[in-house]
Amino acid sequence: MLAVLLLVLLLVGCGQSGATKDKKGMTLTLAGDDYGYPSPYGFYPRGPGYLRMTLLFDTLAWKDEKGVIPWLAGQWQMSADGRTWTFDLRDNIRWHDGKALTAEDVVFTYEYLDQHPHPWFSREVKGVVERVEARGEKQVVFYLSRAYAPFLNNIAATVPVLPRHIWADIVDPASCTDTRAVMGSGPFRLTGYDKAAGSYNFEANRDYFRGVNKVDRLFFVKVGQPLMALQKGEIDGFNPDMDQVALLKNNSNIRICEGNSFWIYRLLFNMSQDVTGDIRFRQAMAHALNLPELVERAMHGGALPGSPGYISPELNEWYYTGITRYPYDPEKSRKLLEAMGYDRVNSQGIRENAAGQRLSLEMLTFQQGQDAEIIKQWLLMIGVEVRLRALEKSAHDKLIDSSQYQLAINGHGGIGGDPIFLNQLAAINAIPASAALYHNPEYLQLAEQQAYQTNPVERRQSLARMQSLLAEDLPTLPLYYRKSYFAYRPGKIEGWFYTSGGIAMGIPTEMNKLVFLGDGGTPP
Amino acid sequence: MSCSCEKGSVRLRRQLAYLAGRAGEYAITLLVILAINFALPRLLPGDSFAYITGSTSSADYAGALDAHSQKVLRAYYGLDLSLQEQFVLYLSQLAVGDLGYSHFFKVSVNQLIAERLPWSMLLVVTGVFVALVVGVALGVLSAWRRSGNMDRGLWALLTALRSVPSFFLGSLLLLIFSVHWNLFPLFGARDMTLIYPTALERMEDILHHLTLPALTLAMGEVTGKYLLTRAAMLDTLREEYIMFSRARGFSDTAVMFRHALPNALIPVITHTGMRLGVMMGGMIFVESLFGYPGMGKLFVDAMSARDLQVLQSGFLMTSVVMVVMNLALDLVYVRLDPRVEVTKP
Repeated sequence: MLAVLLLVLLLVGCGQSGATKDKKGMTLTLAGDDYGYPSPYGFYPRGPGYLRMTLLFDTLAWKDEKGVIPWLAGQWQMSADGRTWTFDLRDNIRWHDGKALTAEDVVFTYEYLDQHPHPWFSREVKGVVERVEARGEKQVVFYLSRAYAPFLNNIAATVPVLPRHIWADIVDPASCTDTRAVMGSGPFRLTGYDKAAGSYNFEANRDYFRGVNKVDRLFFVKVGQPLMALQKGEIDGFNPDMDQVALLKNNSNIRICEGNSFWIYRLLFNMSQDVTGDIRFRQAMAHALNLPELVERAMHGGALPGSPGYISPELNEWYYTGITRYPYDPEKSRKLLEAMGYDRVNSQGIRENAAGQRLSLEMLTFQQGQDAEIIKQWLLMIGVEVRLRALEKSAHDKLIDSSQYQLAINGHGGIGGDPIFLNQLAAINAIPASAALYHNPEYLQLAEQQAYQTNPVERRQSLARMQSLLAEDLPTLPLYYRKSYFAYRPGKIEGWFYTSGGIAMGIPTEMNKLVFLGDGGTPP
Repeated sequence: MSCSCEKGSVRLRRQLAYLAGRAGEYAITLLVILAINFALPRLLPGDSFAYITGSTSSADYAGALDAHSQKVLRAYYGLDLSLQEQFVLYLSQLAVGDLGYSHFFKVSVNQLIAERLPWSMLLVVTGVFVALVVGVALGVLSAWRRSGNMDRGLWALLTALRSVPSFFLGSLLLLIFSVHWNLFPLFGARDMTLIYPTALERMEDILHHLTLPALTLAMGEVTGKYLLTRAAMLDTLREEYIMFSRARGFSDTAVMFRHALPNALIPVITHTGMRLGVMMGGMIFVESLFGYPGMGKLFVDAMSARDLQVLQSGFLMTSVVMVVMNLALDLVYVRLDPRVEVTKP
């Protein structure tokens, strides 16, 4: 039986490419996992899946350490009303098969998106982009239904351009694993992908329009123990957690770069319930939690304390400093709870009101770290009993989505990129619409307004007011923003950096394709 | 002569009738299992469509998908069908060996399993084989030298081994044999970055990668087999027929392996069959520790993504493996235990 299995496995993947041992040039091996076939429709809806795809495909604009930069388009103009965007494509851009990339390919991409909805890109494009028009081979004009502030970030710097001569024949893009589906214009070509092993093999595209690629071969491999693999030299980099960072910090052969993860850990209040819907209760919670200490104890310093305005200070372009703050003050918390009528403390230290109702709440959490236990202890100190209900993440998410909670701790990404994500906190375009969400008419109006403000100064004012309202009303209390780390062996590639606001719509990573380019992405 | 032929034919008929009866029972069991397999993933809280589109409350990308796109995507993934329609579709696809299309992994479930099952099978079969050979051999040795130094030493060593968590054992093996001595690779089932010119080199690479994961799996299983073999052998060695065999002058080796072991093996084989389900858990851990491509990680990922097709296929496979193992055990019993043949189904 073993012999039969070995025979089967010898045949499996015989057609896959790798590299022979004697190949010259630089090989970079990074720890990874399976994130789907790296075609524009094949990757799983996760950040690393999108990033692998961007090694093969390009966007009209891109992002570096400072913000949005020209990419396939060398320049662009926005009309005065913000509804028309004109992009001028660079010269000599070619697809991997040598054919020229033209304005017709860009037009085709948006027509294709219209006919084949994409789980990510269609969210931005549908209802915003009315039509796209080619003017000659090198100019593309986007006509929008309304001015849309995140257009450059969430559409031009996010949606990959597809080759018309290939994709015109692809009728089922999600399941297409044809090699033609990964033929793009990007700095790499895909030479191997093994879904089961979670491995990707890329080879440099020598004809890339942005110049020479420093890396000849780029491998992503699934590693059980990446810390050991990095120390042993079997991989060149991985994303360590805080404990691994502590172990690696003293290793002179390893360097660590630190950046934003745009990942928030926050306390949710069900706004439709009596106790949690009372602003005094939410303020009492905010004063009862010592966030800098929480960061130290639960994250060993690997995070930033939460800001009640929701937006992280990491997103400095939009972060507003003038919001209401809630310094750690348990005495103030007690007074606020007394003002709510919970002015008696029973023999167990739990507050009760005149009717004898205990201040006892259930808090949903998911199995991760000791944060919830620390919070439970702090809340007990002000007389609030918390009954922790730890659930598997999917079950936890389902209860939150259906408003079946009193208090909940949630952790998620998606707070980078364009601050349009603030609209998700209110009952505007929310998925799913929920009674537990924030219902402040002024906030709702500002949310509508900021989506269409193309003037950054005016938009910053709207966003400042939105953050102020969030900090005053506290529909959710951000606890901390987790940091991200990348440990690597220096020598092969230097200059790793974290992209401003995250890549595309806010994917936090050190793996920006600019780092692989010889000139650091400077236009030729 | 003709009498013995007749007896043989009656015996064969009885065995066939017995097996047919058992197979019928298993077929009914399988049908019940199919219905449960279909229902179980759908009873889990969580929405698979939300994971396909990345639209949960924990999504990494905020933003609403418009109603038209949602409708198109739901229809594409067959999530617009009623439960009854989904069940009928599931059964009709299953009838032709089609396990469906994975929402999350975006390929057919047959393909997903075909890519991973051989690796998992290789890992489990090797692990079980090593555990069985070593556990039984040591168990026989221990029983034969009972109460001696070797018996005491083996008992202490293997009982101690059982109390060490597999996670620790696996990590220790990695540290010693991979990091420190550089004898085995740290991860994977083969080197994905290289092309091997010959099948022999490729096989060597596969076996090289297999050693530590299979050893970790085997070390977690060996004690149970050792203890069972030892206990069964001790019981068997007290039987009168063993004393009779010795009295007839058979060598120690012949008494041990030809007369005592076949009887002592029955509980060990039962134990091995029953342990397969539990070993799925161990497999997930070993795959995760060694970055080994197998079924375990697939089902963990499918669970968090609420991939209904993969989950129901996973449950089905586990059930089928258990049913087939039980059937196989019944067949083995018929061979090993002559009393089984007279038992009517």
